[in-house]
Amino acid sequence: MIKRAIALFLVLFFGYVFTTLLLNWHPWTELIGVARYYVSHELTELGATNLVTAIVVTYRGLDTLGEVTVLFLAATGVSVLLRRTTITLPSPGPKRQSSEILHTATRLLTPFIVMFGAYIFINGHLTPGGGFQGGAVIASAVLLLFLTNPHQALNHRILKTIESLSGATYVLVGILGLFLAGGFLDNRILPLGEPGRILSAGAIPIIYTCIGLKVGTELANILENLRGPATSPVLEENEGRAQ
Amino acid sequence: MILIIAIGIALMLIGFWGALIRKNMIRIVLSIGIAETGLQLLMIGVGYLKGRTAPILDSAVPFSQALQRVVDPVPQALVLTAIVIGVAVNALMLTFIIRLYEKKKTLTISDYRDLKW
Amino acid sequence: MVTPLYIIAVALGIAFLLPLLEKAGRWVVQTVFFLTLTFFVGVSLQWSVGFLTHTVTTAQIFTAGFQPPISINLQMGPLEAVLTLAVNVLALLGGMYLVHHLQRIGLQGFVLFLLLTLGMNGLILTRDVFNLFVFIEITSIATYAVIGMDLNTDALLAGFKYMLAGSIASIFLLLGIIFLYSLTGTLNIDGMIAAISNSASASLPVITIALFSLLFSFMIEMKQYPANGWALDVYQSAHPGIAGMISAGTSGAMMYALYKLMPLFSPTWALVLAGLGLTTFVLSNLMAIPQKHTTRMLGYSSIGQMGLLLTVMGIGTALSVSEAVLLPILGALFFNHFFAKAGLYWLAGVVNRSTTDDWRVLRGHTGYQILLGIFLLALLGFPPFAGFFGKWNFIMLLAEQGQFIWIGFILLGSLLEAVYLLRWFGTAVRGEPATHHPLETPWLANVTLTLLATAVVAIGAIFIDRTFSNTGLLILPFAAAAVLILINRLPNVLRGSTAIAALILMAYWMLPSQQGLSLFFNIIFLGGGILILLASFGYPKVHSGFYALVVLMIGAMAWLTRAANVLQFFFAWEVMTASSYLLILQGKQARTAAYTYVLFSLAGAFVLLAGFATAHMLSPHSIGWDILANASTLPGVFLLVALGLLVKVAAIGVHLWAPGAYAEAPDNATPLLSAVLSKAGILGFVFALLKMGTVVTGAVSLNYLLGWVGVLTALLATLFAVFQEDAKKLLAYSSVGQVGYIVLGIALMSHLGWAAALWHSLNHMLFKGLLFLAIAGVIYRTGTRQMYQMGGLIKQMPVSFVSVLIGIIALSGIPPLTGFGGKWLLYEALMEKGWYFQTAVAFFASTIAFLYCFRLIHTIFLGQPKPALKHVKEAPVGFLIPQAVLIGIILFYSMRPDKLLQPISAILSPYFAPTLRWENLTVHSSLGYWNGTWFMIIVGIIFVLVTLWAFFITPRPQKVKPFNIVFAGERPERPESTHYAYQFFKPYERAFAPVLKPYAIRFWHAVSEWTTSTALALRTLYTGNAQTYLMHIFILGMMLFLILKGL
Repeated sequence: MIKRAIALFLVLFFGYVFTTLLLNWHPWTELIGVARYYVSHELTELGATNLVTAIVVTYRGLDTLGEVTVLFLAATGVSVLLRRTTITLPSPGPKRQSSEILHTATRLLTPFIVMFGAYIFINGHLTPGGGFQGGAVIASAVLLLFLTNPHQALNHRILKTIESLSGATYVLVGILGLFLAGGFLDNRILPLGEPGRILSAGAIPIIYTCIGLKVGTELANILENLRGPATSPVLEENEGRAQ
Repeated sequence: MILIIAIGIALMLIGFWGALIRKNMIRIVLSIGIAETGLQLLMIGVGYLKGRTAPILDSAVPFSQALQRVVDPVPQALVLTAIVIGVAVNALMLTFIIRLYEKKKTLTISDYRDLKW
Repeated sequence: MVTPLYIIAVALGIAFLLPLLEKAGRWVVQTVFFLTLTFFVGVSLQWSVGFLTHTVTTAQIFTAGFQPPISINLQMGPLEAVLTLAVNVLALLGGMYLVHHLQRIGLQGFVLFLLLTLGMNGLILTRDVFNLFVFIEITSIATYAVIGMDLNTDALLAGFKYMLAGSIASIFLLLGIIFLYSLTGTLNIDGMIAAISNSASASLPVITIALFSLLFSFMIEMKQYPANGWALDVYQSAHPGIAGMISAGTSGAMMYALYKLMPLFSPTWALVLAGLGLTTFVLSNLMAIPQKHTTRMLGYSSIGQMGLLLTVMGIGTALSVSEAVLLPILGALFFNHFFAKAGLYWLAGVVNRSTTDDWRVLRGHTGYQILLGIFLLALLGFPPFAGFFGKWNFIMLLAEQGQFIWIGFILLGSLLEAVYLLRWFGTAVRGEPATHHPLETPWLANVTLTLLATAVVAIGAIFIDRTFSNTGLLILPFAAAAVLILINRLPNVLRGSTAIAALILMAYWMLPSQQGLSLFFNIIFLGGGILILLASFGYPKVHSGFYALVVLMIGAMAWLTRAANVLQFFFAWEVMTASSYLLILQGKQARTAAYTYVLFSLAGAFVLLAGFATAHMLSPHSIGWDILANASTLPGVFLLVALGLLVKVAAIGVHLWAPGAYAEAPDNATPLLSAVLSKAGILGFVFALLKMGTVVTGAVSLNYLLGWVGVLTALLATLFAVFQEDAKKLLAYSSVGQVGYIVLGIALMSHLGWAAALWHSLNHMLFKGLLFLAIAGVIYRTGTRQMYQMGGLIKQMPVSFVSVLIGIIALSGIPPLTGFGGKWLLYEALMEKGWYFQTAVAFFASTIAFLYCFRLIHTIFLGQPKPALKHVKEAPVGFLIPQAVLIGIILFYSMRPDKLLQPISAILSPYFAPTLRWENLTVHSSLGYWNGTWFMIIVGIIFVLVTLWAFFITPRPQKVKPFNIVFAGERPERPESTHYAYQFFKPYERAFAPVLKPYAIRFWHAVSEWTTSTALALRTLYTGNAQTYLMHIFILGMMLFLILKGL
């Protein structure tokens, strides 16, 4: 009870702090600082119609590289932590097979979902979306597969190769920027092309493709690991309750 | 937009409350996820300029008028990073919980007090 | 120059591609792994060398072809170069240390490790605040993963707690960043700083709260009190290799990240940070005291050190200290801790014993003991390590600003840290041997530990080189000690000769250029050291490291005499403390005694340091001895300096360490401690009082008080000595008492008083050296220190008997030997000053001294011989030679006191008007005269006559067999009671009972109890519940906000 009281007090206190923040905050009516620069120079400098993409991939490319690293780290961490150890979990009870409708629908939908994901990252420099979003969509296809068939096997070698190579390509493209353009991760190693075209904005589509593939495979990896070798204990508990 | 920010703040507080009160470790992780979501909303809200549109140039928002027509693109770029990092941390936290559960067969946070003082 | 971008690019490229190499085999993976780490070291080394040779200037590295703030930029300046070098070296060594562990995890272990290294590099290099956030996350997530990767439940649990804390920290960091961005329009750190400091809006609530969020986040990451329970768990349960990386690397990089942001905060905020850091420093060192779990204890220490660094940083910003002053302090503390703490964790990994008590397995592993000693002494800020200079400079900086409360708490925290770290060290070196599994000694880990120790020493050497100009002479004792350790395996004679040669070399270099008091004391130190060291030839086997420590100790004392300023003095003082501590610790049962000794010494040294700091405040531009000259305006200086020195001379109340230390030290070290080391405090008094003079505060003269302390020490120590059964303890208390006389003489501040003090200093060195050597010979032969187990040894050990006889005559101050001269001078001086009460007490004490003198010779050498000791022989010649030399010197000065007194008068004449007059061999004072030569002749004639009379006139004595009396009726139950001299002075003990109550022991015991119980009560804060820790985090946030807002 005391704990609740303290917690309530603390939350109310931070509520007060945040409210003070909000009440004293007056948004600008004009773009300022770097935002103003990006909006007024981006198209001529980098040639991407999606300003956010230009910022994510080029202006703040180092952040994005770090972001990819974070995801990669998480995937690696999850797979290290959930690696098979000598302890084997008790296998769960028999599961009901997914229905035929679900199976068929999944088979039908999966390629389209993957394609949609690819569309999102390939068009990242033109329309809303990009590598992370596309990758997440691709991973959702994998999730769908797992939901339909928990024992669905993935081809690890291909996934791993795609993941490694797309990551390495990203870094390589970045390094090329050092030699062929203004600096590390500069997208202007390729011609900027005509804004709005699919082949424009220099290396952004390439980078976003790499990111999309890498994020997709990494998220798929995380999902597969979280699914566990046979089951995840948390799921097991729920099923036990259901029976 | 003040409303969005206010909702973001509310979500953050709800998240904090959950993290401080819930006994179940998964719920604590989810609470922190809620707080993070609140923060992400807040970030978007901070970058919003009244009456403007998404920072994507097309026929509706030509380059020449962009300065007057689009919202701040930077917070949107930042929030993307924040989301991805949040996902990564949450995945890892859940993984830790899986492993801990495997060892002790409990999800109650107060059952894990082996290390103290 | 290779742009540091390649660190990022290569790390990521390799990390991404490494999974493809899995099939190629583990050798390929490992080779690539180590090549990558070596590449990092290479890049940062290249830059560091570039900055060192001034061939490069600070480079801004742009990305994406745009300048900041449009794009993210990295900065490679001198600081970044050195820090990345440290981090990368640590990573390379850590990789070596952990290679087997990583191998067990598999390929992903190597990937995680590489990315952890990348994260730390990025944290240091980036100049963009959001990019900083990304690198914090990379570092943190990699850390979470490596903590959990060996699937140990405790580590997983700790990792989970860490992640909860890290998540909250991230939320507040982002909150701060986004609002700062929206207000300034930039994410570049430098741009942001400029915008915040230029804008008039700096005090707006939004900026305040945004900056608070940023700061709060960093306080969580830097594990500040009370939001640090999770960190303790991590340090405790993570693999020690990883814990070392976190404590040194991750924390260090985080520290620098905050350093970059510091200009964002106002001076008052910085002061709050400093206060929080200091709180953390003191409290976590306090709470560590009852902690028995090794790595958790180290965790407390790590957190404490983080707090200290934060304090330095905060103070530096708050007082706008220039970088030229601040960076050496931060650098010394930071890098010292960086390598030493990593070394301790890694050593803990090798030893692999969870509680500190189990570290007794180190007994016999000299190599590990040395490593542990280096790391611990470095961490505690002992010279010659860099931590010493960091602490000294910081305290002097605080003194210049008049910040005494800070000094007090920093010294308190440092002392508390010594309490638990040195207790641990004592156990590791001198714990009771236990049956145990043998230690595994993996060679790769040994190599990394040695390299870390080398780094610690090298950093210390850099600071010594920067600080002192006469480095050549400074190095000699260290070099000699190192050589002596190297030739450890050679025969004793060779090692002893080398040690003596080193001391002679020092004498040859130092003495000719010295004069006056310095020369006088240096002769006592070096001469006494050499003489007493001769006795070590008598031992067939001498502890390894004995000679090295002796040379270091004597060398340090020799530096004391030529210290040009208080820094040099304090440096030598601390070297002396450390080496004498280690020397005492060589005694077989010396764990507790050495521990007590070092804690008292350290506390005394800190008080002394506080005194110097106070004096430095009065004259902020100097650290020369002259700063003490202003002490009369601030009596605190006198009080602190005197108190610090009184601990060293074991004055009453703070004498607790002395009996144990003298008694338990190895028998060949005790003479050095008592005869030579005890004069170091006297030297301190001489140097300090020469400058401070007589200080009167209110109605009381502080010198007068000091005199009383001296005379009471003499009285009480003598009383304690009387009732000892242990020969070494008896002599130990006697030493304490004798030094009390010297203090009394010095306190007089007159020509006669000082002459008495100097006379007695030399004389005490001679006769106490003689006595301890003679007793050492007896102990060597009989194998016991208890006097009741000896008896009647005069027949077997006649030479030792003569030594003791001469020694006690000289000690008790009766004619004709030198002791009389000292006492005569002292009484004259006391009367001259009108200190009649003190004269009476001193006289009384010196009468009582007869009792123990009699006891010493009577119980050991006279009476009935013990059957068990029938076959005891005379002490080895090696013991006797130095005794003969000492006797010779004593007799010479007894006969020709003018040869000593005249130089002493000459030495003192610049400071005090001489009051002694000479007529041939007779010295006249205002109260009387003394002719040592005639005295000697007359007493000699009487002695011969009495002896002849006894020999010819008295009837032949009858021999009494020991069992005649013992078995008269019943068998005694306790063996000691078979000795007629057991508890010889018991009746007196009853009479003196009220005085002899162990008040001091009770007092210090209560202090220790209270400290422990406070610590136990405080640490219940860390309940182990992750949710409670979350609550602590929010409480920290609330407190921080309220304090910052209040200001």
